[in-house]
Amino acid sequence: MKDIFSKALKILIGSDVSLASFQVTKKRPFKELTERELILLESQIGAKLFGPVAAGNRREFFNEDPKNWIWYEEWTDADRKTHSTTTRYEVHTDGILKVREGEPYHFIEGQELQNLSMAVQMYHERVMRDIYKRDPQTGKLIN
Amino acid sequence: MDRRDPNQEQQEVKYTGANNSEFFDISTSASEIPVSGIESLEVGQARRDVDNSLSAEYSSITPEQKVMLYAIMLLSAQIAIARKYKLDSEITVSQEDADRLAL
Repeated sequence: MKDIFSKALKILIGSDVSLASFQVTKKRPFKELTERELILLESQIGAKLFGPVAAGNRREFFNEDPKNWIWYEEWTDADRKTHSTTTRYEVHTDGILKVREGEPYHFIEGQELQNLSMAVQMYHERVMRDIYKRDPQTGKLIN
Repeated sequence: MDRRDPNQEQQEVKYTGANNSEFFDISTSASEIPVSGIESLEVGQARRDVDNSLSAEYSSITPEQKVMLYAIMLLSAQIAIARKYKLDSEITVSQEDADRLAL
């Protein structure tokens, strides 16, 4: 069987190549998930923190890095036109700056700051337990 | 993210003579190069820097708001630490990170 594949490859590629170079190693030591994959997992948790998302709509809420939180919302209107909005909450030492395309940026206060604070606490609690398997209070690994 | 052309500064540097102090004449400073992109973190920061009223406006931060802000900063940092050690299970948690992970 191996010979047949080798001959087929030789016909296709035009040179005598070893099958060994096409074998995929099953072992992936130390690198189980990429950072992007971890963030996607976190976002799945983040999206559910604010209740159910209507059918056909999409929501993302995740921590991009220590200084940025992203809220993404996508929905379809009555004319089946898709809309989306991305909000970036930038963490600064003197406040949380809200940046949204087409709108004046500003530091959030009052109810919005309370809501974000609550969302971040819930997000932290869930991702620490469910993804990182750590106790949210102590930071220690959960067995 | 720096959106400037990395070769931009190099292109602007002109050889003008042998005198060391005047060896290069930078005709256009890098800060004059326009930066575009509404979603850029740097742009947001830059806009805030030029608008003094924003900082002044937020000087009225209440102690309660300050607590919420510090909590967000702390929890954000903890998530980043947990992510770092999940990405590479070979590295052991440093004492500093262990302290930061504990609330």
